[in-house]
Amino acid sequence: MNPLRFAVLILVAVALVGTTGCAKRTVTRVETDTTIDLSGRWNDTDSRLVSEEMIRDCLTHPWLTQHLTAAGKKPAVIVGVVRNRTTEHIPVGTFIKDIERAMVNAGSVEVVASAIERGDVRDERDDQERFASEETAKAFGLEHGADYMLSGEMNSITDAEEGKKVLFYQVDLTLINIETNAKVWLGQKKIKKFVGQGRYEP
Amino acid sequence: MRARSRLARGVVPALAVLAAGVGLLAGCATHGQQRAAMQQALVGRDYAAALAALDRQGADPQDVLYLLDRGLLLHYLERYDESNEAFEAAEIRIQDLYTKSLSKQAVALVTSDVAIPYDGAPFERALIPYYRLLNYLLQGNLEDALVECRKANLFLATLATKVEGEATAYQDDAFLQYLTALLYEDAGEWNDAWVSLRRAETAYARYAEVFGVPPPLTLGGDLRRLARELGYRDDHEIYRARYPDAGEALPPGHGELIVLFENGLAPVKEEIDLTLPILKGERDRYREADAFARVLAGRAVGHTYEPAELDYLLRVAIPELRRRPPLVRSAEVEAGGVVGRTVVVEDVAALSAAALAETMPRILLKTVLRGLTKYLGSRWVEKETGEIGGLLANLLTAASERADTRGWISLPDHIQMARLVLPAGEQTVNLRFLDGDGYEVAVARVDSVEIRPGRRAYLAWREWE
Repeated sequence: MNPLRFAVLILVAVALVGTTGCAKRTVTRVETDTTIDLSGRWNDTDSRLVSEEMIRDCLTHPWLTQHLTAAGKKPAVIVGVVRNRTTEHIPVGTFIKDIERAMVNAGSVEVVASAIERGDVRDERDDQERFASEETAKAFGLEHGADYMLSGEMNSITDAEEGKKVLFYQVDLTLINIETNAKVWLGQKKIKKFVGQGRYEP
Repeated sequence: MRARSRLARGVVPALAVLAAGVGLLAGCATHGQQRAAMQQALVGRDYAAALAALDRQGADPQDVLYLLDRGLLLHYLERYDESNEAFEAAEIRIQDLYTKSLSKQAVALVTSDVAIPYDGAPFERALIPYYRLLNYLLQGNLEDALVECRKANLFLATLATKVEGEATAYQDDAFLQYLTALLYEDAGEWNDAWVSLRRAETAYARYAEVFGVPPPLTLGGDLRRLARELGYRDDHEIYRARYPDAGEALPPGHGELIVLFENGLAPVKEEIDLTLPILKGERDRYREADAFARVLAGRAVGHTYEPAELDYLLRVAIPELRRRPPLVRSAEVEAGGVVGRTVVVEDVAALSAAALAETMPRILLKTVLRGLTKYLGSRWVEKETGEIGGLLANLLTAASERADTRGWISLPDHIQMARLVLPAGEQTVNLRFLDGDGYEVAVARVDSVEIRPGRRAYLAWREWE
């Protein structure tokens, strides 16, 4: 190697290392419904969009009108377990909350508390029975039992090679009539993402 | 005036040589030496002190090795969530490092490979999900442990595609395939368990051939049981013929204890010097530095020449692996009157040795090319500035010559496994650690291990001696 080229190479390299080390951290506040994809992994936008779309689909299917006709009142739905069978640690709790929110906001079904939440509410009712005034204390035995249970699972397939990655997520939800075990609605939502990563940077 | 001009013209390359040397003068210890305090604390089982020593040595969240050591120490401190955070940060950083920094590569070209951020050998990366799944299992969280299993399998599938058709020793991780198969079976995911188990069988055949690690005897029984559960009659017959003595099912009212025994400390890389003779006239004969470097690298195994032929002795530093064979060779596990013996299922030291041996030709060539570049640069500085300038340049470039001795050295030398079929109920597990002659070196006791009928319980233990 020509010694001059050798020298220039080092000086350029040292200068570049110096400049890359000076990058400043910036923080910008954004709206919570803004889509920001950084790593390609499952994120809050996926959770929100999938839950909204699936619940919209769920509530436009015949089971709802059939229930309203037969029972004369809104069905009570409990959101059960959504199993994570992907290669990522997806916060399933957030997804379940998104589903519950989409259902409650739609107004056509009643969402009843989960087993853990029910325990807390019962503790509170027990507390009220002992400490609250008779007029304001809430009675036991008036809970609404769920008519349907929504549960499902999340799966993913990853295909990766040399800086390129295709992520495929599939969410399957099933609504089951608790009394009859009949599956009244099956929903499916797929998301496909391509993640590219450059081999070199300055 | 002439001298001044020569000096001015020599300033640029002199600065370059200075840059090559100064940046690395401060830390010339090997990675193992830098982590000496941490390792000393580990051998004394003082994990808090080990973590403090690691942080003192340099808490750099961009350094993969810092994050890996931190994750492991927090695992032993039973701070499982923090351990997972550290491991996750390491995984993200490794992913980011797929993009190579050209400037750092250029600096490495004239200083040392240490200038390039460390992104882990494949076998080290594969062991991240192992510790993460243990973190989840020890918190009773099978669902997230299974996420780690799937991550491990995905990583190994990608690795298999990458090394297909190559002579690479580490093409699949038999132990991880085996462990993930057991966990899939625990979760009732029999198809996934079947796939992993069959891959474990193939990978152990290779482990036996390349690393001298045979498949655990229990593998045959697992294959037979799963084939039966899945209704694969043909496969069941094949495995029954292949493993006639293996037991398939647990007796009623019994569960299984799986002991994962991590033994000793992984090998460290040390730095060794090579002196390669450059003979008179050779500098002019080879116009391309790459070709010249190849010739010189070939002299690493020795070269005969007449003293009068010698022009220069080029000194380069390369890494060499030093194993630290543990005093303990195996463990005897006893619970409820049932006794079992651990067997090696993952030889980390052998994987480490194979990884270095495979990269050595590339390391050597790169190192010699770097040494040659620095040598030519120093000669030019000498020519332009005189003998003192040349001497200074020589000193600085020599000081920057360091082998890349980095590695995840808090890993064990190897991992052993024992499986005990036990009656359901709370059990006390006694461990006896034996040396090569079968003499007891140490003992340990773990109380209140719950064995549930038809289920598996996992116990992880680390010995440092």
